[in-house]
Amino acid sequence: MSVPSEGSGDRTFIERLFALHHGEIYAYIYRMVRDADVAADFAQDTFIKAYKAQGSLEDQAKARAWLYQIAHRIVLDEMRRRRIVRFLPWTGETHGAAPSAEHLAMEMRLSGPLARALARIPERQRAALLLAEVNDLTGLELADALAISHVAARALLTRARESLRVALADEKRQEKDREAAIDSAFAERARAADTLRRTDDTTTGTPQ
Amino acid sequence: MSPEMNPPRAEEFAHERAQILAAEVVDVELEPQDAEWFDGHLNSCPNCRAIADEYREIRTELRSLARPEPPRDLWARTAAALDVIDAASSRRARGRTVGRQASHRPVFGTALAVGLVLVATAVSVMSQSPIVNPGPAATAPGGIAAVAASASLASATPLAPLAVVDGTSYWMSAGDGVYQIKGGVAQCTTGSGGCTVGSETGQTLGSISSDSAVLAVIAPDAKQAAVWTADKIAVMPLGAQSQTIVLDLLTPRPIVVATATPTATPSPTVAPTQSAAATPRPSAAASAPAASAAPTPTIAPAAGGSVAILSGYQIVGRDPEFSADGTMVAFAARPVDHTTGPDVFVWRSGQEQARPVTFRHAALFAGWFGGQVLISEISSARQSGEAAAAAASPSASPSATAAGVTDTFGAASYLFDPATATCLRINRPMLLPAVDPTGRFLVYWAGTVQFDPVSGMWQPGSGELYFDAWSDLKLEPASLGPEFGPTAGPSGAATTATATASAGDSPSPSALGAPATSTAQASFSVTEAPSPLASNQAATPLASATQTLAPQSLPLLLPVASGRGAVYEWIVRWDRSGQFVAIWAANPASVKIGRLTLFSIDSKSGLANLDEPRLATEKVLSSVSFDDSTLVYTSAVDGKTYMQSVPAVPPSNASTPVPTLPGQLQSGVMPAAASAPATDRPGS
Repeated sequence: MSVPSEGSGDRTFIERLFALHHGEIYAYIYRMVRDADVAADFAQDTFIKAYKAQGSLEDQAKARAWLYQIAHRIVLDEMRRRRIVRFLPWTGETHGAAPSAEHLAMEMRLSGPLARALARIPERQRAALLLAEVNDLTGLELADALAISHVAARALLTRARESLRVALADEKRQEKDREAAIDSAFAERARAADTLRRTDDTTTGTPQ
Repeated sequence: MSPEMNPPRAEEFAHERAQILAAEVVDVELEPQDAEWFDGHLNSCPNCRAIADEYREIRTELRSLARPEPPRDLWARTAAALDVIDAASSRRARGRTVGRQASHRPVFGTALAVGLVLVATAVSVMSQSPIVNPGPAATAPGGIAAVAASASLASATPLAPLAVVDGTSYWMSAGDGVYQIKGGVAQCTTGSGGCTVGSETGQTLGSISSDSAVLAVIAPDAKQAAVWTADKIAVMPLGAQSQTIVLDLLTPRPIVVATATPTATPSPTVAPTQSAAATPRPSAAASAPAASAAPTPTIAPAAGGSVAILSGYQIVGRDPEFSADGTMVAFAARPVDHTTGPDVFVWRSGQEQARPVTFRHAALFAGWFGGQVLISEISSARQSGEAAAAAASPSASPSATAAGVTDTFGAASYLFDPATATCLRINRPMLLPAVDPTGRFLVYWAGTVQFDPVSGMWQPGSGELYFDAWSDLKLEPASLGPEFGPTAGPSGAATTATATASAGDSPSPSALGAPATSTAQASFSVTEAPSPLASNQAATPLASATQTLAPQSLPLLLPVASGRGAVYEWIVRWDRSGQFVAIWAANPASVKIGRLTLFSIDSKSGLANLDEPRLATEKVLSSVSFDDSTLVYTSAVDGKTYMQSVPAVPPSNASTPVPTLPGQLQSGVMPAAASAPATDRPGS
């Protein structure tokens, strides 16, 4: 990323960071929490915390990973906290009884077996996968964002891939079972209708 | 492979190694020796090859995921918060003693400052309460008005007015540690051009100096305001000639003549030179004899007529609120050291301090009803999850509560008359009822209440808002004192509450557990004749209170949230005629932004028109109010404040567009609220 010049003011620095990264930060958070409003809140919190803690950024070349690290912590902390405080479903799926058309469209694009499988794997693994594969963080950036060593990040990513593979296979199997059940139900209804029609034809004497 | 490894173990190890390499090779280049071994293994292991293929396919799928777009107002919101941080920093810098390190500002205060400007964003960070405190903010609106930021907070900030009274907007601006309450008449143009009023055009009506963030509410006549910080509340007059009050130095006057509970006759005041040590707690003040007041100097109000009415306490839950005649202020507060839970306090003009009217440390202020105060009190009971859910929320499914024995808190509500100190308990379990000014209907929340050890407060759990007829309720004489509490609950209740509450650092477990009420188990069935305000008719001006339609199909579940059981932050506002009720319900997991729905009351049936809300709009800040027949609300999307005359046309009527928020509801599209379940009778 391009880094704000040395002489730029604090506010300028955060504005530049926002301009460069708010889209990807929001997208990462959204994929983690699957709730647009919560994602917006957390994205805002991310940049506020970054603004207040910018003195802790030693190497501005690592600003992007540093930003992800803040977002990652906010997401995990808040998810844990909310689970304790409010026993509401977290996935957001039950929140959407009256979603906007925009939200529906987004859900359509983001849901499916893969999204469901992603939601099933442990949060840290999900974060690692999203950061590496979807948000294109390099190995070093991933380690910085997760605040772990490079080796640990790679190991986490490997476990995440396997978890997702198993979860996705299970989701696809369930989806296939559901489709089969639906097909079976339709076939059963068709057979019943056919039987009924034949019975009617027999009683009314309609030629076959 | 180790030469000592037996063949089956070696084969297992080889597959494991291949699987790890298959995961790694997806996005990194393997070391040459690993790559050679891996290729060789795949040639002989179809399973491992299949897994490697799956990894690659999953990667492709992941990278093709659609990218969600951030909301358009994300920068506006973020910039507003940054503005506040900047303002607070500069204020601290100025107040810093030369050569000394600035003290660390607690997150508490920072969060509050953010909440102040983020408005209605104003979660009650200060009170750490689940109930939204619509915070004051800078700016003022007019019909479809553009927002003007205050001088020190110049950004496209979504800010909401404190109030709009008789067409005059009141707002608060902040800068340099000085908070100004301003008022101005909106400059309106005909047609849809709307009205605007900027901070530069407003007149300063009150000025408060404080190192802490200040919140405020305006009296109905706009002649005085209640202002508060994280540990103090004061009442100040508003006017063009008002002086600046230094809130941090303002202390409550000591009470010389103690009274057991608030009485109709204001207590005599004393000279400010006779003071109790520091700032006496109201609980002590209410019961302590005058002799206990230590003769230490007291700082007089900094501006004529301004008086600190409580110190050492933080507001909890709803904002303080003036009575309709402006002579009293009621609110819930708890000690800043969290040694007890919250009690409701009432201050009457002329009194030295606000006085507690509840004593079990588990009460929340719900609102005024004429000259009386609606109070909700948390009760506890340990019972099976299904029983708790069924009892606390008549419509809640058993699954709303975890199976098995659980700590469940319910809520009972009371009508307290400060003039006579009489108290009536409402026979249905409900939290924070809001009664319409004509005394015919009310809206309340029912559901399960949970204790949050983080904030030391109770959180509405799974619950709904209900519309009900006031005349359907039965009011029973009750006491809010510790000695005459409601019927004790199950024997285990107190113990349970104690254990739960003590997990946090707050509300006094003993207080909460003491007379654990059984109100959570109260039945919703009403068998007796309505007795609305029977014992309070003389005290209330609500002559129409008994002229109730009393429809038998109540209560109705109000479809205001995005899902069942999802109402946990809400604001209810009735218009003066009792014909319209506006309900703001927070979006899931948000306390700042929610959905606003305006319902009308059908004069024939006496029911709320749930199928046809007069207005339904998303992403609205929680500062919703009525100015006579105008609904005032602020959009979180564009930061504008909208003033909508009621009766508003239904959103479905495309011929007369309702001022919907950009990008939210399209003209002619019936909002989701309209298609929600029309009725759901609790208890059925």
